[in-house]
Amino acid sequence: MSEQVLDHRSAKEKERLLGMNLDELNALLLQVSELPEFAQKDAYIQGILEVMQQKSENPYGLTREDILAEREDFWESYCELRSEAEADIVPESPPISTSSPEKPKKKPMIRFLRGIAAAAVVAALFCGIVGAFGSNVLHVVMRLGKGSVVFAPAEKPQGEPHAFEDLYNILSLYSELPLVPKENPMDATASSVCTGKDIYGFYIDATYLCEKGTVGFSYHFYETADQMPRAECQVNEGELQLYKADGTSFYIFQNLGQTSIVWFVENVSCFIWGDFSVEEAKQMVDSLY
Amino acid sequence: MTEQDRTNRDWFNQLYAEQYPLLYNHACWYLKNLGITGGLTEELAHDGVQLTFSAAWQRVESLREMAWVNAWLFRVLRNKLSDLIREELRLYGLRQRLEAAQPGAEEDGLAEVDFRLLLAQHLTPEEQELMQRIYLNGERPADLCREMGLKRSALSMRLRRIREKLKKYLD
Repeated sequence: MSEQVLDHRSAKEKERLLGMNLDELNALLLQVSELPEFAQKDAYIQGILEVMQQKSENPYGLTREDILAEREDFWESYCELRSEAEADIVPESPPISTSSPEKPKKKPMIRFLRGIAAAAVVAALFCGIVGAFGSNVLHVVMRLGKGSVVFAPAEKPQGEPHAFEDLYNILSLYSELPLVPKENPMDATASSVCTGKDIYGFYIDATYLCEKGTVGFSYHFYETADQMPRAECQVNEGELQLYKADGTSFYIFQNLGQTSIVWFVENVSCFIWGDFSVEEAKQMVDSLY
Repeated sequence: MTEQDRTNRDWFNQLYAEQYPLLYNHACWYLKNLGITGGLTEELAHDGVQLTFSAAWQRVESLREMAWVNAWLFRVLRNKLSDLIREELRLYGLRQRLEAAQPGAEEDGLAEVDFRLLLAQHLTPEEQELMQRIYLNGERPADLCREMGLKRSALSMRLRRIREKLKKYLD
């Protein structure tokens, strides 16, 4: 993913996060942590935490001395709780890096920007999440279809620039399902494709530049359909459209001036997001088949 | 202490200083949103964060290689808080019901158990006082530590032992 794209994407998302107060960020953090696993989940959590850190708010009046005292206390008492810590450590998901292990570690800023950029896809899933708490919410539950695709990981390209057509070719290595519009939407130009593994399978993220801005694709392949999460999206009423094509339900909605398309097919969850209109979103869906 | 140990410890100390406020603040926010109030919020938040760092210290080598360390800490914290809340639920639920004074509203058959009686029957006078001050009076653990000349961790350990002691009578 190029830095140019990252800067463009991150500025918006970071601005959105910086515009939230601490309560809202805490609520968002909680919501994100309770979502099913998705590509870049840890990156997004870390992104939120870093924004919280930047805000330097201190609602519970902790002083530097308090923290140092707690740390001293930790070394005296808690660091010895080996057996207890080892017995119950198991986090909700393993402490995985969202990058492949062999992938070189990114610089912190790049990691943060990439996390924020990729997370915009996910952010679209719970657009209006904070503002929508408790009122005027259209609650959508997307259930996943049955069936599975043979999971056959192939040699995965990493980080190299790709033409739009390459995305089609890369995805066809994994599935014969129609996942990518056959026509290049909005004449998207070269960008990069990023792949990675997580505990449930693997994901492919791709971001392209187009005349209007950016268009991104994110596909999460689960090993079996049973492992597919049931995604719950909260979106502002009136902003979600159900669009059907070839018997599949596509959810189209807008958030912060961008449009997202979300759908599930067999063992793949799919998102397309970017600077395109709802009409263009429907054209993209039609062009899948 | 080897050079590696020293490096790990320095790295960990920095992580602790940077992340403690964030984790502690989130823990307090989370617990308050669950309706837990007073000194108990601070106590559970403190315990949860320290246990999180304890888990982190056990894995310091692998953590240093991890891309999203803060996210990992946050996930562990959520698990630790869930564990603490699970342990606490019966005791705290009991206290809440006593406060609400709505007999018959019980869901788990504990409403008839008198919290004070429970303490009186099974705890020493010192333990009873400590529990009453934290659970019933909502006093801040930090204030109690100052008054009693205790370290924060010592108070947490004491409370944990008391909870353990009471657990069998609540099952």
